[in-house]
Amino acid sequence: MKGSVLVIGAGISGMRATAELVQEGFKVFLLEQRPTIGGTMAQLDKMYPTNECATCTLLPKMLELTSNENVTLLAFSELKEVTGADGGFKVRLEKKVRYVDPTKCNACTECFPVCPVGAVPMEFNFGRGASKAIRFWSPFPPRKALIDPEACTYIREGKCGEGTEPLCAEACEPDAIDFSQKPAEVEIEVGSIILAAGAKEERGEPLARLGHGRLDNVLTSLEYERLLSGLGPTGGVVKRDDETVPHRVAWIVTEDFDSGGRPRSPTAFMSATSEALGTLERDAGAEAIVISGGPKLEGRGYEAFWNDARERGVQFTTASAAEVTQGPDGALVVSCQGGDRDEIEADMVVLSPPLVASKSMTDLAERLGIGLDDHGLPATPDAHPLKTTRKGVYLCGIAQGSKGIRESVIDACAAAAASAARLAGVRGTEITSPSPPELLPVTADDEAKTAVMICRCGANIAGVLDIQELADYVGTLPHVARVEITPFGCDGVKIKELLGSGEYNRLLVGACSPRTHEPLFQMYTEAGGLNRYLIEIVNLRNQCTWVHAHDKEGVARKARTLMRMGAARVALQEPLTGLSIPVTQSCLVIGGTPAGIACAAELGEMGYATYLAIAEDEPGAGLDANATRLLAPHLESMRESGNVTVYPRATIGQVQGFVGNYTAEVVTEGGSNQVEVGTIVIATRDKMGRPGGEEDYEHALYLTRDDDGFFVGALGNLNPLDFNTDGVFMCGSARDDTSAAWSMVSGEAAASRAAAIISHGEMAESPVVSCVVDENCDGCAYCIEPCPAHAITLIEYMKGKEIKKTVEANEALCKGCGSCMATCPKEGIFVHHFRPDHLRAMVDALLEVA
Amino acid sequence: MNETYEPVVVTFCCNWCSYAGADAAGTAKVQYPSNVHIVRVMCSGMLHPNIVIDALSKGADGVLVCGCHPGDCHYQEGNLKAEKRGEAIGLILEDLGLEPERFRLEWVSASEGTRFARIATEMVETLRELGPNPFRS
Ligand SMILES: Cc1cc2nc3c(=O)[nH]c(=O)nc-3n(C[C@H](O)[C@H](O)[C@H](O)COP(=O)(O)OP(=O)(O)OC[C@H]3O[C@@H](n4cnc5c(N)ncnc54)[C@H](O)[C@@H]3O)c2cc1C
Ligand code: SF4
Ligand code: FES
Repeated sequence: MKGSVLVIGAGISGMRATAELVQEGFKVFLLEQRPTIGGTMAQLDKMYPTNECATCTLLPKMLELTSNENVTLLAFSELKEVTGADGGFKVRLEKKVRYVDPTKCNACTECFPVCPVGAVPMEFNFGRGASKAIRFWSPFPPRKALIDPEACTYIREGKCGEGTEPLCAEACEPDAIDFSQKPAEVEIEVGSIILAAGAKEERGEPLARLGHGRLDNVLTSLEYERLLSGLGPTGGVVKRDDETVPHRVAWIVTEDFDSGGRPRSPTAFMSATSEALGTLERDAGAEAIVISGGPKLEGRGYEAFWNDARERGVQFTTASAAEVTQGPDGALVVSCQGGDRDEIEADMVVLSPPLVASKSMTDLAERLGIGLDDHGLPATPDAHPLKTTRKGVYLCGIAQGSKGIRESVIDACAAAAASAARLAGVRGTEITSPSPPELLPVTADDEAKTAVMICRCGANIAGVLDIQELADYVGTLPHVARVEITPFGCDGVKIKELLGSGEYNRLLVGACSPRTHEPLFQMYTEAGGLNRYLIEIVNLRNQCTWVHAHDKEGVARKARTLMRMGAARVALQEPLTGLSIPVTQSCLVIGGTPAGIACAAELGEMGYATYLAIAEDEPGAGLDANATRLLAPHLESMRESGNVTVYPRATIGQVQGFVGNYTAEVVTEGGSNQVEVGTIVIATRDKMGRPGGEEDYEHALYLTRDDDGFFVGALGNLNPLDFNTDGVFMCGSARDDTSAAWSMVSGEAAASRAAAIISHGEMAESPVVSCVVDENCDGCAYCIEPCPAHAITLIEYMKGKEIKKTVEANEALCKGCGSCMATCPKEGIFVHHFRPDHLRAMVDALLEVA
Repeated sequence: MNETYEPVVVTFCCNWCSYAGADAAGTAKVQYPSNVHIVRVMCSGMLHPNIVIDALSKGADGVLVCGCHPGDCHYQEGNLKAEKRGEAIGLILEDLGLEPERFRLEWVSASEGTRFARIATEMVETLRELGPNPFRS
């Protein structure tokens, strides 16, 4: 058996399966046919139902993967052949020719302006926008140039501009251009394969009838997403082919015309709604109308999103669009049947077709040795929606069927769990762990020498602010030793360069939000040799340029003020290291639902001690025939692995602790059992607390429910199974109403989430915890009661002949909320990284006149 | 009143909901006055009343504290503690002879970008009417 996995397709589902597997101790080869990663999600602007920006959400994940030493990214490559069997596949791949050596290219772009061949249509933008013959394929990683052989005149005719020598090669300092490059074969061995090759918008007859490819200004949804995207060909301003801005845009959800009885896909209606909303966000006076067979609102939060869209002015009409024609004035006319209007005029028409198997799936399936179903998608004969016809080859994302990002992420986690369970015996055999970086010794007494990086964030920041002027100002601030500007700070290149010199002991970054980018920037900071708490991020984008775009003077003044505040704070920051706490490598699963059973079985198979607390007499009791058949393999594996302890007719008593170290009381007829676990999975919506019990576990774990009784999880499309409380996850009926099969899949997915934590014997705790100042604390004990973590105790000791009092804070229990700090009348306790002097320094800097 | 008076607002937002809410205002490009400056704290319940009083007595025209809605605090009840301290802050303002409107406590969730922008706008408008903080040097 091999402790590595091949993931085919680097869209969100392939990326997520990869991320889960490396956390669980497996090496991953991530194969992508395109030159850059991200798949469909990378082409989206905003996402339903959260209205999050797809790029902001995805980019940090891309960067985490491309910088992970246990992920081998094989972009612009293709699968040739798979031999061997489950547990030990031999895979042959081919790297396609890019005419640039990616190991040498440093993305400096010096070659782009010298290339004489322009106007090469960008495939990533469906032909809109133009590039040179040498270019980046998209704005996403890996950022390595490549040459389009169809466009390059040197490749076609041996000529470049006026001469016969390639100008790009001349301009390329690292000598990365290589016209003699040949396709390279790669052979790898893996234990299992995850197929995440995605799907495509349907093309063909229905779209052609509605004018696509025939009339100007008739686009598909994904093409329209590129116009909405700030990284797209029009910089986020929707424009018609003649460069004018449309004021009336109509969406036609074309899948309503499918008479083949195929279920309508949830993505088409929702993406149309999301794009219509995005259009109104840009131009509140625009007219945005969605023509469909009726709202399709199957997922949690979809209805609220749709209602919000209606409230904000998106119109919806239930009708079928028969035809799109162009009137004499150039306007498009949609002829409708069954609605309240026979004709709808529009400046632009967007067609939202269903997602269907891409053409290349047939070829891929053949090479993989798997069967396809009637729709051309991988067949899943075992009733398990993610198991293909070949053992050891799992499926996830829209390659399985049309679905949204949240559902794709759940699939990906489930596919990762299946691999991790199957390969449990060889977990950890193929990975290398990073050696801890060599850190610059910095003490609180050292004078701060701050390096500053200001990020243009494309045009997001630099389009509104005069960056050079800001940089010049920042250079005059106390402790600031150097200021640099970068196009995209999140690629880590500039930080590496700044810190590489070893001259600076603080880093100030003016960029996007620390909420999304702090972990990434902290990682770069540490890689650059500075403790991760010596960086401060100033939110120039979300809280400055994006929200004061029309106030030129105000935005510049505020940017200076924010940078001044950041500079004052970072100078006071101290290097911090958290405790490394032991993790109990086991899990408690609450609920005998299909999700609960699947989760426990999967964890048992992975080799972790698992406790399954159920209300029923035995696992599987009370399930209908379909669910019983579906879960038979899990019930069997649960018995076989011997790692799952089942508590029937159980209730949950007191639960205490924190991620990695929970203690839970499971009460059965036989008595009370204390289980020690690292993680907890909530797999049911039913209340399983002890009737009349003192403290309910939901309360103890800070879990909340919505009006329908479902649990409320962490925010964001990419966190469908996580709670805000670390180490606690949800699946099955705890999160939504779904069929037994998908409930089971979400249980398997939750197993992966739990395994990501308990596969390690210890975890690093945050050092952002409280600390008692001995000189100031007089033991008044005011802080004890407000502490939600019960982390503070009063202690008495003898000093000389006197009894002294003080408090002690338990670092492992402390959550860093700062209730103690805000209560203490004498500044006798504070939270690291949020010290009162940090806050005061920022306020003082703010009040200073610029 | 001074024609060119631009109020200076210090805003403390908790990391989990309100700071994300302010970010969401950005993502949705909802505009609000540039007088509002956000300092991130982990929880609204982390903020000592002295920090607020200090800011006001040093001349900030207003202090806005934003936390999660009741029930949503990442640490359970930090926001409720902040609410109690808010009452105390109100009393101190009275002692200092400052208008109560110079301090405001609000709940903003991570998706309430529009709400955050509205509160920020209102706060600035109120402070414009009140005029500069008399402690401003
Ligand atoms: C217009 C539109 C709007 C949408 N809006 C939303 C939204 O707002 N919210 C939401 O939740 N969902 C939305 N969706 C759905 C969402 O995009 C998908 O759920 C999600 O992107 C699926 O990810 P995936 O990884 O499964 O597939 P993909 O993103 O399609 O990724 C598949 C990857 O595999 C690669 N690949 C394909 N074949 C091969 C091969 N033979 N070898 C190697 N690599 C291969 C592809 O190049 C691609 O990178 C939308 C979809 C569309 C079309
Ligand atoms: S920071 Fe919060 S959790 Fe930590 S000791 Fe203080 S009150 Fe308790
Ligand atoms: S975390 Fe938001 S108020 Fe406590």
